[in-house]
Amino acid sequence: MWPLPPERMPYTNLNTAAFDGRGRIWFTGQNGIYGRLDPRTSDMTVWDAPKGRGPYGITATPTGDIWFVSLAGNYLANVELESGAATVYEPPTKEQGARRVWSDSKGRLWISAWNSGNVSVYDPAAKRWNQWKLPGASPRTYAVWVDPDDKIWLTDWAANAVVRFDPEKETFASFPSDRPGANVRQLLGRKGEAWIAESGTERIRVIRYR
Amino acid sequence: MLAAALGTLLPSAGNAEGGNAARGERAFQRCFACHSVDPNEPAKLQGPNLSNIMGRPAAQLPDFAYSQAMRKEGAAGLVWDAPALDRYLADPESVVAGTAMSMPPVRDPQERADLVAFLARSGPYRP
Repeated sequence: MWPLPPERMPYTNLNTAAFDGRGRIWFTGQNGIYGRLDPRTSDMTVWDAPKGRGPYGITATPTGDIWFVSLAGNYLANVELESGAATVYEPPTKEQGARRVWSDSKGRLWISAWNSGNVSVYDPAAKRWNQWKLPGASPRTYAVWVDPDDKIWLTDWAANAVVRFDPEKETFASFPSDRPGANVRQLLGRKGEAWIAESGTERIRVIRYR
Repeated sequence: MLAAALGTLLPSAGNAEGGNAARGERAFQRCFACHSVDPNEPAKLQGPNLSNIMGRPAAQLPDFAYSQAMRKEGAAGLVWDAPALDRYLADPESVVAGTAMSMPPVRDPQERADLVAFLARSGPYRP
């Protein structure tokens, strides 16, 4: 067990974590920090996040790079793996509420945007953004997971549904829950299966797909 | 006098003992990422500023973009007194269906009472 250094702040509100390509685990704290732990040496470093509170989802690309998003800060950030310095990338929609992020097989960063109801993507190689609004009048995009076929799975709290986005066809398919208030905060899976934790109904659900 | 006034706003919540603002300040760290109780908070946060919330009608701050659901409840007369805050913390969706506040329910009545006591510390709503 590795406690966070208490002198940084009394409570960091830890959110999510991801391993880099060098065996260190990186984490975010919503109250305004991100950090790195090397479990082999127990060396831990914590940094203040750009713009303070808000660090939320974090992901590793296939090459082991680390990116995180800030919900309150409305940005995507890439960290330099040794110095820990964060470089901020501003999504095209202001105050979009970037909540979670997941890398696809090509290292593109897919982001679920809570305020805007968008799914957006940043391609570091092309230095290019793109974004799409989820179906419905006022979508609230919470979780994102990229499946092994590079299709994008998202959760929409307003529609009470899991949504699958095909980036090539730019189409959405919706899979509503059969109970109200599913409030899915996280999902992941494997080829042919999307696994869903319904925090509002205390159920685990699976969608099998082709 | 202020304490007496606040006392009337703080009935016990569920089976909880009276709220403890110091414990509530600690519990509020869960809320801190999205809310501030500093009336001069410079950051634009996900949630509305909660200073002087006791007695404030829902969706009242002019410079915050409330959800449609919250605006609807505000128009219907929802006021953030201690019982309303307790119910909202216990189950946000049941009080404001479609709320944008995504925090999981606070199931412990004592923790809710502590949070409400902490929120009351900034004083009552001043229209």
